[in-house]
Amino acid sequence: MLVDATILFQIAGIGIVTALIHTILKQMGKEDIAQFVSLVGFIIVLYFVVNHLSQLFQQMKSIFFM
Amino acid sequence: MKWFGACMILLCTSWFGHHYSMLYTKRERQLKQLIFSFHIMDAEIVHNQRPLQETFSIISEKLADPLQQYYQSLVDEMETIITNLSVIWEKETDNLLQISALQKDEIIVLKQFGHTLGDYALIKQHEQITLTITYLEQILEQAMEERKKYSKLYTKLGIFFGIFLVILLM
Repeated sequence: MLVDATILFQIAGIGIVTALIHTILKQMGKEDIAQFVSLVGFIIVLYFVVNHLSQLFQQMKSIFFM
Repeated sequence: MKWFGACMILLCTSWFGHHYSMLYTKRERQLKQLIFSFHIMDAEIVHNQRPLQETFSIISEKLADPLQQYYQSLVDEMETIITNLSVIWEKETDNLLQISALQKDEIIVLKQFGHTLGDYALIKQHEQITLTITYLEQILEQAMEERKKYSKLYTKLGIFFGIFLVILLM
């Protein structure tokens, strides 16, 4: 449970900071870099989620096919 | 150790952001010094009718680095190397681009001025200096606007990027 809570806060933190960096870059007129940063943030979060989902499915597999 | 590493990452990225933000401040200050140097040049060449080498020496005494270094290098090159002044001026102006926070626009204005230096009578020289000061003042206005717009944003960007890295590596 503690590990799950940490990952939630990590994803939330990455999302918030990515949004802030996106806003700042947009204010500076560098919209293409802002889009790139948002995309990178999204890919990182997707990687975390897919990783944990994969672990979940592995555990379910080990339980049902024991 | 984890917290120490996180602090180091945050400090590094914040320093980078601060460094880029300071470039805008330094550019503005150096442009003001450059305009001041041209006012002195106008006074010394047109009104006091001093030779160029002496004028540059007087200017270099009144300025801070890197412009002090720029004018002093001009004086030294004029003493040692026997060539066209415009060649020396162009070479030192290219060096100035490397050692200062000045950008291409003002360097182009300086190079254009260098081609006219010493080639005209006093009245024409005064007009050339006045014209160069006008161009530099326009560039200074733009630099001041850019500093207001970008300086704080770069500092914040550095800090947020550091926080992003810390969260990612947690």
